[in-house]
Amino acid sequence: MVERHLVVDHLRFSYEGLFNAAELYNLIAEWYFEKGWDWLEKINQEQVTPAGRQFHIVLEPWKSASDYYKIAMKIVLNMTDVKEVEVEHEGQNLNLNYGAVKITFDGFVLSDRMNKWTKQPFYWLLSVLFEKYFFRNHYEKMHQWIESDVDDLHAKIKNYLNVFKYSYRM
Amino acid sequence: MEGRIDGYFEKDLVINGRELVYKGVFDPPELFSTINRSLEERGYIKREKKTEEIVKEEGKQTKVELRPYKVITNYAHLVLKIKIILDNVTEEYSEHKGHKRKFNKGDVLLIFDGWVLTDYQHRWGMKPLVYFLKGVINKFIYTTPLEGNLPGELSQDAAFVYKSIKNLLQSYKFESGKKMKEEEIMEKVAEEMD
Repeated sequence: MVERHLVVDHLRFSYEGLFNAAELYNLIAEWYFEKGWDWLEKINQEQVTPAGRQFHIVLEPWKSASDYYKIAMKIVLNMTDVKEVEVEHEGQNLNLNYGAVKITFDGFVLSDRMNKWTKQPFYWLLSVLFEKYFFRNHYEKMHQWIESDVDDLHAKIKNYLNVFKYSYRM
Repeated sequence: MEGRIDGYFEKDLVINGRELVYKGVFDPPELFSTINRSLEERGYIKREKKTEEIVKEEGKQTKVELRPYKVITNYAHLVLKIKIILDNVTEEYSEHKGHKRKFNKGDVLLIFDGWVLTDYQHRWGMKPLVYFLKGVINKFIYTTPLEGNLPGELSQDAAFVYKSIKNLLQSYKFESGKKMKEEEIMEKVAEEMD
């Protein structure tokens, strides 16, 4: 079976105020497209309530980073009490949304993505030995890759929503 | 996973809710970069846990939670939790040396917590009897230098970060042209003397 290593554990982001829900969704989708990730949308739920629209979206995009490794993200996007509002900005009327956005990011490194090395116990032992001791640097590279990709997407969303940005590289 | 503090560890809370309060002008990117630099200087690996922002009429409210950690050995590591709460933040232009500079104005609250995490690979110490015996030996018979020094090191690291941030926030008072009055200085000195 494919082994999954958790690298980014529940990085949370939340925002309450004006935004454009469709634009935010497109921004995330575009980022994955630009970076060459495969798109997987597990859940896309919408409820219309008197308080506003409630969205629950779960994304699990992934990327085959090498012959042996795969990197994956899990994004849970909840938008609650989303209402449509009209805002005047520089003499123009803009249709925007008002509500709360909550996003949770998880990042994983998946080893043996073809499921070749875990069929027999001896092969599994070999794969563990090679992963841990001989090709450790390959795993480290994947670890860094997923960390930096999660950070990049997180920063892009913060940029879009004009949030005070904390970054590791400041 | 490295840096997690909700797993199976012996968690020893050393710093509990140490606060730094500031009201006035400040520059958020500079504040974040000061935190980063001071953490790097003390050998911490930076980790962001949470960002929250609410846009209100009075101004923005932002909460950022950081969980930097430092691996001491395979057996122990130190974790700091820094909560940065920026409230009622508005933009302001202040004159400084004849130039206009953009600042943010609002309330800043920083809360520090610190833990020493030991046996983070979940081996012997989590067995009740071993944990008990280790506790008794550490407390009454012999404290290993490694375990004995950890809380002190964590406190020093937290104090260093705290001081760096405090110095930065203090510097804004002068940068924005708002100098302290003589009475205020006297009051401050009197407080420190007490």
